Amino acid sequence: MSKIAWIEDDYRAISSLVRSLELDGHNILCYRTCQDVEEHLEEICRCDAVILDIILPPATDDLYQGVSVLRKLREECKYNGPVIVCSVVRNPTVLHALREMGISDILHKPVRPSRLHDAVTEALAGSTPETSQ
Amino acid sequence: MPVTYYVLSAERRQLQEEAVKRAVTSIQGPVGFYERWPGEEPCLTITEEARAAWRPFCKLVGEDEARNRMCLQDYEHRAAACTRPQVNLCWAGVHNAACPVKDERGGSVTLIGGAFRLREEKADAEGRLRQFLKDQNIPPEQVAAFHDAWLEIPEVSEAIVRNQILRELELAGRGYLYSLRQLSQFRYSADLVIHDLVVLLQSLISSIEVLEIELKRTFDIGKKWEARFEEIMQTCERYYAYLEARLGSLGEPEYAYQPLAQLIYECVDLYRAKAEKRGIDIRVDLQKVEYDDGQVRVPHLRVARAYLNRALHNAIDNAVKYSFDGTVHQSRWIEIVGQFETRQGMPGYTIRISNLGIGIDEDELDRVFERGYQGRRRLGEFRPGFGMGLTFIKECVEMHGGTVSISSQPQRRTSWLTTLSIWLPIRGPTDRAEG
Repeated sequence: MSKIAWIEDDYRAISSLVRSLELDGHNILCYRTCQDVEEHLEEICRCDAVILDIILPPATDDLYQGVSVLRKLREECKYNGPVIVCSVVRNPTVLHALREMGISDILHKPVRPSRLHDAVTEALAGSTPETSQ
Repeated sequence: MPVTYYVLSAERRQLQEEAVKRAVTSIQGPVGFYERWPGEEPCLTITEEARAAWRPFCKLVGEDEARNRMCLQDYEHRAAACTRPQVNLCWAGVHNAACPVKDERGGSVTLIGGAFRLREEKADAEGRLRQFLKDQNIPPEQVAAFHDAWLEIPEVSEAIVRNQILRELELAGRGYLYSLRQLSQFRYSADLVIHDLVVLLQSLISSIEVLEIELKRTFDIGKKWEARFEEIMQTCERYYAYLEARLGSLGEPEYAYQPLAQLIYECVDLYRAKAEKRGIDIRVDLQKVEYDDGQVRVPHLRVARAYLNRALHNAIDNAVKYSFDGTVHQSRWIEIVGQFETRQGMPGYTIRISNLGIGIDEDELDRVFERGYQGRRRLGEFRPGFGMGLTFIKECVEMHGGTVSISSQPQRRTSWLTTLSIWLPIRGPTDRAEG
């Protein structure tokens, strides 16, 4: 059974997606804000994969907090596991910044559970993180 | 550029061009734009506007390719070395003012230019010129031409440089950084709106598919039910596509030949019901063209689909929004007419969108394309908007190398026929417009 950390501010949006992954046998741990992430960094870094939203509270000068969260996971915590971005954001500059830090996949909301299932399966199968050239 | 500033490369170029244009106009001389951000290669940009403002002396120097390269390297080196507002002398004896402006995120922008002769340092400049002529082995018969061109460069005093030129360069640099921050914030705000709108849609789509999966497992539902579920999910996804067309980030423009008729009809279909509720009929008449292979159809245009899609949405939404309602006694219509049209030797297609409604005052016809501007007639009525729709249409059309205009003619005492005309070249933008 895989443990997956899901960093997402609005649980309403993903409750069915979480349920679909749980039906697949995964254990999902949810974190709502950047503060939650800070307080549970060790726990997140022990997960087999991370699903990450880009727009997270609280809003600061850094705007897209998901980028800062991923930087923290990769650079400070040395987390090497697969990270799947699941967000409405399509700004190529933002996505480029995320690719630079290594991500497995980008899922644009609204995403179907079947698509999520495929992305998670592939990520856990050990494909190397996608980085920009 | 630090990850704080989430602007597209095309937008960044546009902001650079605007900053340079402002500076060139204010100081009446060429201006280079040097940008440095952590984690990025510093870059000197010379825009077309700046090139057009080069002094005849600088053009003469730059006629030789090797000298041209040296000029740019020298320019870049002086911009890179500039840590405070200053005047420096180029390798050929021309003074420039340079003003760096720091950004709070660690980057900096230096506008360097002016191309003048500083009165108080005339002797130094003349000495540098003589050295340049000697080092470059300028033939004796050309020396006079170089010298005369150099003398034509405007002479200014230190006071003018300090109080006007440096000040204008600083303002242009600050304006650029401010626009970067504002645009980045705007992009983020737009994403926030989409983010909130999508929450329920995401919940709906995922719930529907999970329900389908659970029913398949429990009751082994057949293909007929699978097809129905699929139809519901596709309807939700189409609604999302509509939201995205109006609000989402469009990304970098990718140009490809697209069927214009399909784009227009898809857009019209989304507004037809809304228009019909108000008694407004939307009529479409697109001229077809005969091709060499015998096909007769509306041309395919080389466009950035997502951008043109949004421009069409904005145009048709405006036409519906500002139309008067139709009644039993008075029908109303919106007319979309397409016509093949060559302009300045370039084959293109004109799309005219007309509606009968509140109209625009004549003195505002040029202003309605300005960002945030809202016509005075519109302000007296409750019609939602931010004054951004026409701005986007203009930017999108010009990005494609096209042109846009608007007219508003009185028809009766209280109604006006307003027509938005968009001309797009069939082959899309030139290299310059495409960037």
